[in-house]
Amino acid sequence: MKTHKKLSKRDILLLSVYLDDECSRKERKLTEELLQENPAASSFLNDLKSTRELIAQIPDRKVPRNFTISRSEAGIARPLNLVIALRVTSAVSALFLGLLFFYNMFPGTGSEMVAMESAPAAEEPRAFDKEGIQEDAASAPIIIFQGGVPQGAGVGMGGGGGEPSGTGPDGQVILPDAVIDERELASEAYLFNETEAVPESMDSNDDAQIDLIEDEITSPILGIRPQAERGGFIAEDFEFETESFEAPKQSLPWISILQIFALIVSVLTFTISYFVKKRRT
Amino acid sequence: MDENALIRLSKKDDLDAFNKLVLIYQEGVFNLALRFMGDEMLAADIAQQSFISAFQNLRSFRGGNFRAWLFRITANNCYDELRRSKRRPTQSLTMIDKESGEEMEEPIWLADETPGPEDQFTNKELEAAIQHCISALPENFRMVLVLVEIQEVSYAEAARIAKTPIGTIRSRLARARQQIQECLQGFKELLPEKYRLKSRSTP
Repeated sequence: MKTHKKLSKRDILLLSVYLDDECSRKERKLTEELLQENPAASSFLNDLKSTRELIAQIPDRKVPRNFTISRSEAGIARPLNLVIALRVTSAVSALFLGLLFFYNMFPGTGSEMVAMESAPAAEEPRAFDKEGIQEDAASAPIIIFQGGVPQGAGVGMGGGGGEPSGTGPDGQVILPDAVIDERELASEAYLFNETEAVPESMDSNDDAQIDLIEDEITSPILGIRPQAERGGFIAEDFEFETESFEAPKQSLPWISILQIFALIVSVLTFTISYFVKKRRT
Repeated sequence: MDENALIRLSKKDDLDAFNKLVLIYQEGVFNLALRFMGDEMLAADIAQQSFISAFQNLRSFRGGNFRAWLFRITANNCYDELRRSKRRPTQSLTMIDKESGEEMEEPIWLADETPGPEDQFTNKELEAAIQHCISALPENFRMVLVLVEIQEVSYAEAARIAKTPIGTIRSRLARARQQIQECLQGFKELLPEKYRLKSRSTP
């Protein structure tokens, strides 16, 4: 039998939970019994449904603005702009590339000096090759005089004059002696000195000696005519023809490597920055 | 891109991904704050602050319902705002007229904006009446009612959001419904016929 009773707090709780279908099996059974027994419970449940529908009718308000957050609001430090960083890298690489070209192309930058040092040394002319002369002297026959060097014997080049070597006052030939005088060897050494194989007049390293010899051969006091008139030569006037050598301008490998590297970096970074910017826009 | 992927990216400080989540949930967060606070400007500030807090604390999100997690942050911000407003000094009810410098007997700004029985029924007025009744509820009841009735959150989620046992949610909701019914009786003329309450059996 249905009796109109005042609803308790527990009844209202059961009805509220029943409305949302959040009740257990036991609670559901109890609520259904309550609804059958008490018409006030049914009425209250209907009011709850009406209120619920009424509240649900409130439209959601549109947001007055977007609530998206900025980096500063989020507390994130702004990252380095990738495009700017790439372009700066590209510019620096291009500048570096230019400097390398300048260093390599223009004279006086130090690159040529290095190249000169690395070039092969010029070959000395054969006339000054002391070792060559030494070899010549070694292969030349040694002339040994018996009983000393005859007076007036022509020694040296362009001697001329006097009696023929190895002949006596009457033109007889002096027979060779068995003993070789040390002085003769010394004079021989004068002619074919191992260390002074180059004629003294041609030895540019001993200027004082050259001057002395020159003075002797041109001395008007001694009645000697200038050497040039006697068919001799003066070492000072002697000029040797040498092959001119010009150091080749060659690039060092590390410069080429750096140039290639700078070129690649410059082009690559610029290309990446272009595509990054295009993608962002 | 699905929600989980956006959350994963957001955890790696991808702000663009997080802002996509903001665009998805901003209406729900704003309306939760609006219905709870009853003030649009305050609600906007709370919503903004909630999203900033969410981004900064995203690493503490261990999965599950992201919407419920956002609502929990919003609810906390709402409670904080209420506490702050309670600490603020109350404004004097005496209004000085700017022109004459004299006290105004019936300041315009004190006029009751809730629709009277004579007002013509409109959706806006009904909404204002319902909002008035919601705002009249105690804080804890209000939050549960807004979550369950307006945001259609389950009891279990509401319990997690409000950090309250589910039994408490059930009782709070029942009492909130009871109180709002009583409040809405005062706006009987505004309500359409089918929404007018018939029972008078509230204890």
